[in-house]
Amino acid sequence: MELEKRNFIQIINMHKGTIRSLCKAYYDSIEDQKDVFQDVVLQLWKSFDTFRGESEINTWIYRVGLNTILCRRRKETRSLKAEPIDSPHLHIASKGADDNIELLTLIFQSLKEVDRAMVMLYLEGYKYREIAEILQQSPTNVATRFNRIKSQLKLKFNDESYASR
Amino acid sequence: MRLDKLKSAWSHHKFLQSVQPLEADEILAIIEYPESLNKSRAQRFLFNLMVFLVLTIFCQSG
Repeated sequence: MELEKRNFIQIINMHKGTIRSLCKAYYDSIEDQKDVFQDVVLQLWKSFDTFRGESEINTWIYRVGLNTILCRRRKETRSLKAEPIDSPHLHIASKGADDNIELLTLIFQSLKEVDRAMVMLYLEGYKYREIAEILQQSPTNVATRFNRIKSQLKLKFNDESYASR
Repeated sequence: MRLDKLKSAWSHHKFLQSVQPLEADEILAIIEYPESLNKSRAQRFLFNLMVFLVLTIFCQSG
């Protein structure tokens, strides 16, 4: 096997948890998750040549992964006129999973797709400027959206519900 | 921001997702599929071109 492919396989294996989490955050069925996982891996492979360690591996995976998924979701929404973009569409936690993961699921469910991506990146520890770069948006737009997200979450999830978990 | 409290949940979720193994063959199949598809397309194109040329020469000579 070529060295490049071997390196790529190693990277994907190290970050499979992140890629699967992204897919699971946007797709409900196992089949869809598998399909989108393949899409993301393929896009990562296509951009592997240009990657060359210019950014951190994690950032590269989030950038390619989220943009692939969001692009796919936009196409699906356009062609199928399916559920509204902010409709609940995911099940991150399985039964009996950690309470905080369930809360995370509820939060994701309540957010629009791009907002969901922003929150994921925030939870990963990225700053607004980095989030803007990864999602190819302006930092002002990200900051504005985050203010809206915070207000939205404040309305939907009050302090008591957080405290009880 | 309260979202900060969920950072560990996100990490835990990613960890849970990484437990399921992923074989090297699966990744290879994903990245090599378009290559094999392109190869077979090229082969089909060459075959069609050959048939076209043979038929053209045959018709012109006849």
